Amino acid sequence: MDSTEEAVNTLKNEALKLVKEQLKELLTSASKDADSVIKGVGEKVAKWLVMRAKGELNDRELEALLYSQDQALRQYKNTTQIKIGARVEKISVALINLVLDKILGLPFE
Amino acid sequence: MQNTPSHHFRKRAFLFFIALALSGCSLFVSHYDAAAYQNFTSLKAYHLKFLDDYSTVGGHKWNDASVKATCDLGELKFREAHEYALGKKDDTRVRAIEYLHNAFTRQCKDSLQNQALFNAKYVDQERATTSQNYDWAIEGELTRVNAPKK
Repeated sequence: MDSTEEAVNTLKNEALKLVKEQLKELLTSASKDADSVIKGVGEKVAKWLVMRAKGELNDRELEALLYSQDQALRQYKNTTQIKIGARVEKISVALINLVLDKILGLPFE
Repeated sequence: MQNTPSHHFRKRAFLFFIALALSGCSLFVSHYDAAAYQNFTSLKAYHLKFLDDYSTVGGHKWNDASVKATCDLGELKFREAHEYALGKKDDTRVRAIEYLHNAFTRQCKDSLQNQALFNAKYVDQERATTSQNYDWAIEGELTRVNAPKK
């Protein structure tokens, strides 16, 4: 049984059919995502649900782990924003300086 | 005094970047700051040691006063780092500290409310996620313009 199936099967209550379907859909799309961060989050959440079902984590611990993961993902988004800003600056400044210092003044065809 | 077309263009480009910075445009982010980098690495060591010291791994015993003292000192360290980041006037750096601070505050609150050491299986998972949070914050600082070459 793969980790997605195992995680979905931790929900025994049949009244949770819709939740199970949503969980399966989300875990499956995370596992197939090209982004390693999204894939990693899917694997972790699936693992934590199985650990909760086995009694290795209690509800409070599972909630704490999900909170930490939420903060880490916000950090990831923030870091991505920094990377984009820095890249724009590095490239645009380098380009402007290159044209000003090395190209401007050369004969153009 | 220089008065070439190149000089004029450079001046215009410079003024454009200044205008962008003053307008608060998020196109650019502030440059690398060694003290901010130091804050992230130092807080990471402190935070992970907190998780290690107050877990059931290694035969530790619950000590309420010790947890409170560690959490209080951690709170001070985070506030100092936050104030430093605020002074640098870059929201991305302030947010980076806040996401780490929030995780620490939550873990302290849980520990003191439950009056118990973190269980081994939980802390193993928590340590990995917390560590990843710091690694992304550190990566962000090292990505900024003028960061030392790896």
